[in-house]
Amino acid sequence: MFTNPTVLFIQVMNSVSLAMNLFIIAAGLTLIFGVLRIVNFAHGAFYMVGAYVALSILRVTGDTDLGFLLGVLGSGVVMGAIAFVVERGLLSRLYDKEHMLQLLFTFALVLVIKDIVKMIWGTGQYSIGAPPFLRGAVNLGITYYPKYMLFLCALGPIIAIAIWFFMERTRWGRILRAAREDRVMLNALGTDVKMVYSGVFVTGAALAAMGGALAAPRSAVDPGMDALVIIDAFIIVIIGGLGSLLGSFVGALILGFLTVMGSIYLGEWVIVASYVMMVVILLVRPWGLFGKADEERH
Amino acid sequence: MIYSKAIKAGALALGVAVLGTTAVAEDGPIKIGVILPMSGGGAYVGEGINAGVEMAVKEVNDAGGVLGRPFQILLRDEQLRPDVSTAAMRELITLEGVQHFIGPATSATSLANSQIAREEKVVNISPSAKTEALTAGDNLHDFIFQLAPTTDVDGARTVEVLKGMDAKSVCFTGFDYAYSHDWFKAIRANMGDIREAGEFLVPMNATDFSATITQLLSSDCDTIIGTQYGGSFIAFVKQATPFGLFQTKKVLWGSNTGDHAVAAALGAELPDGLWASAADVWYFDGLESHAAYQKALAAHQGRKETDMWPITGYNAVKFLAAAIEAAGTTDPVAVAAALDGLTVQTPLGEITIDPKTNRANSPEFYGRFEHEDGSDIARMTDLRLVR
Amino acid sequence: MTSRPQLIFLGCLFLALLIVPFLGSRYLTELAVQVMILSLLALSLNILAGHVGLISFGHAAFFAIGGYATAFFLSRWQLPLGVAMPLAIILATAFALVIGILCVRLKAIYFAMLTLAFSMLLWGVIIKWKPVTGGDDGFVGIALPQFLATPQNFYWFTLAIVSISTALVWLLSKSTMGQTFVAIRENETRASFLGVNVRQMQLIAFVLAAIFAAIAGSLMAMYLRGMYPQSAFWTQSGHIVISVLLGGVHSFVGPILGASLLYLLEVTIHQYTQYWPLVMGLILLLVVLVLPEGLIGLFRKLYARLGRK
Repeated sequence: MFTNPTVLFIQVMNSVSLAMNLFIIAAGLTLIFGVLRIVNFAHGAFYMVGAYVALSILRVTGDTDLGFLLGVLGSGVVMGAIAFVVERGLLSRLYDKEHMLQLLFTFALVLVIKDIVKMIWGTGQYSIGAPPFLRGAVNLGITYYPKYMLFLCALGPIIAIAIWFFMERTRWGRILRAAREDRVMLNALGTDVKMVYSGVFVTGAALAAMGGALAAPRSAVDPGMDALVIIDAFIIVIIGGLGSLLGSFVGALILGFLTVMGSIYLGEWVIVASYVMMVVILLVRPWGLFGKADEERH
Repeated sequence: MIYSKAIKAGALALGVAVLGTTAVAEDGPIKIGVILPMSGGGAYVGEGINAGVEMAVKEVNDAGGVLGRPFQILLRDEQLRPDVSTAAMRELITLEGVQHFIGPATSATSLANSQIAREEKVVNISPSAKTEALTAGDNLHDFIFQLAPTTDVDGARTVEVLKGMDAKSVCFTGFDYAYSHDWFKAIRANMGDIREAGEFLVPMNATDFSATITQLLSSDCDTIIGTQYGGSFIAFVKQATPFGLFQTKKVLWGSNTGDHAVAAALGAELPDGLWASAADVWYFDGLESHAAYQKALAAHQGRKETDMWPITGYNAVKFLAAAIEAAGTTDPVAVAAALDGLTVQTPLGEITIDPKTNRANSPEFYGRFEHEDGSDIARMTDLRLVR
Repeated sequence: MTSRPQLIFLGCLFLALLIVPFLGSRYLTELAVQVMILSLLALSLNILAGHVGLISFGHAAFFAIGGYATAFFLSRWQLPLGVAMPLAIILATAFALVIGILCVRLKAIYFAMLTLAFSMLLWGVIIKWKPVTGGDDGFVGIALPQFLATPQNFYWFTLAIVSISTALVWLLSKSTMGQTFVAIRENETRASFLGVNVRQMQLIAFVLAAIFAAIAGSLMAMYLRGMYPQSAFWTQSGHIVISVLLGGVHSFVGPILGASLLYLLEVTIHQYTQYWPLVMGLILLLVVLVLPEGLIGLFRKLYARLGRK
């Protein structure tokens, strides 16, 4: 493959666009862990809800550009609203409890969400297409490349920068970072920490859902989709470092390249390779590439 | 002590309750254990097969039942897990006294349940599993019956279609699992002069096929043969289309992708010219028995565009009913013996279970998808029923 | 972790189990076999979780190794059970030593993630190594020794193994080593100041937990007449963790209650509705929100309410 620069270029682009799609999902997971210290096993289920909600929205609006935009945003809004109710009503009661209880909670959430999805949409397989203006391929000079995948390549960094900007340069971001460090102090200083926590959980869930809607043009909307994505999301945040946005960006790129390039040289063994990589990182640098070492203490 | 008393009382109560339900009635309904995937990614298959089972059972019961007794369906979810499917089977045997089973739907679960069938001596008809291993070598026993065509037969049928497509060189792609390996092996064994240009497999839970698609594009083959199924087939198509894969290569797909539900899901995105097989095609109109079946199924499912999978469950019930009638008893040993060599009239014509292999190698449809004018949903043209 | 009421409970449970085969229901007998095996599996995790305080998300790996190894030794190498089972346990121990040494270096969440990673790695190998494990089809068909062929005999065998294992774990829990484990869970720093080699103790707990998980796996493989890759998947590990938490992680019998209840719920719910995951999820939510100490917490509250000291 290296003898053919065009093919190499395409595979690199493939790696990046896959990575960006995964990053959007992983970003939510790492955000929730970073501030709330919760390992959200329900993240795959949120992703799934996002795709199904987008599906329904598109059924109403028809297969249009505006419809797709509404679908993506709508999935974020709907999932965000659900997350808000869940967090306020149930999850917030568990913040002071053992972490294992929170884990158990997210496990239970998966079961409930999946069945509700099944009740509403049934067990069939559905498909959402890319919006009309992102269909087909564009001529990049060297080769033609699918428009939608280019879109993902561009969207990923945009979202990354947006989140970074929010976290580092806005007042809300500072509050979030403070909540990550010392929640009690923040509360004492008068900030409504409860709202902060809600906000984080809602944002993380919304990101997962939008990630699901954005991934839908390249996959099927079906009952098994959550199980496939949660593993990838976890590998990324573990490699990148739980709580680190940059970590999940880099981690996504690593997994993207490993999956694409790996499948060329390792074929079906690539699945083993990603777990080997997870093991190696945890052995050598458990807090991930960009996590903080002192977070080893829990 | 509270807990010890509670446990003892509970155990006794449970025991007494259970004692009352394990008796097998000789004149009550004939219970059929139906073990299928009813949740998760395989649910559409399970629901489809079950729809066929339900319709067949209704027909049988409306006609007076078998040996004067009605069929009763006991449905369990196999969850695509062999430990769950075997537990379901054992529960039905021990708690409900079931002696006849239809299902499970997938290779691993079918193999596991077949072992139970052998040990417990109950009849097990597999409606849709295609793995040769189910009825090969040591795994073959008196009580397991396989209705779907096995991969060796599939391979031979596929090569005939390949030749008709004028394929000169092929690339293989698919999930890294038994079905891919077996089907490809069978194709290779039969393809003669057709050249192979490469095999590109992906792990079972892969969701991104862009690397493989790029490899296929740059390979020196004119035809691609693939096995990704269900949601993954949809994903593959959606990822491959903007790369122009379907413009530059001919494509033939396994895994019964000719399923109309797939065409409906993909709509305009399903590539024209895709060759596929299907266990059933609702708009085929070459057989009167098929038309009658479709009319009834449409009424049962509430829509004209019926699913592909029901026919497998339907035929399984028909075989079971015929075998019990022929044996004159529900005793599994006798019913199993009756199934050997049994010929049954199905919507797709006569199907016979080979007594030596316990396989029926049911006929399947092969065709080429094309979008007709004015329709978003593709249909198979050049449609033929292959035996 | 251990206490007199719990010992009495276990005694009564054992007596109740002795009666089961005589109740004449094969269904009940096989149900009890499953419950016993899963209880042992949960109990084994609690050697790590309840005692030393490390929650492993890859515990299913040893369950799978025990099962696959037993299947392989019995069927491919045709070894007698008396050799196959111990050999399988030794193999699991070897894996546990290697994986354990690497994992106990890490704390809490990182320990959990590394154990998860190792068990998924094992899963990947199981899926690919078709000649030995049967790959995605699973290892189908086990040459079960003759004396285990009937459900009754299998029950007695399982009861014997599980009872002896439970007794051993009880003795461990009561012993100095067991108490040292708990001391480590409660305050690792103080324990090490008191001269305890924390890493070594954690490793020992890890290996012991793996041994009993492998025994459970061995029994399960024989019961199922096969072993399947799902037994090493992270959802299986998650299942074990849920059992322990459901029953109560800070007690000896908690895991037994949790595993039994979880299994019985699964078995009964799906007879009534196809939406059994929803019901399971709701029950778990209820437990998490209302009964954080698990079932044992519930019993303890009831016990206290009845006024006894």
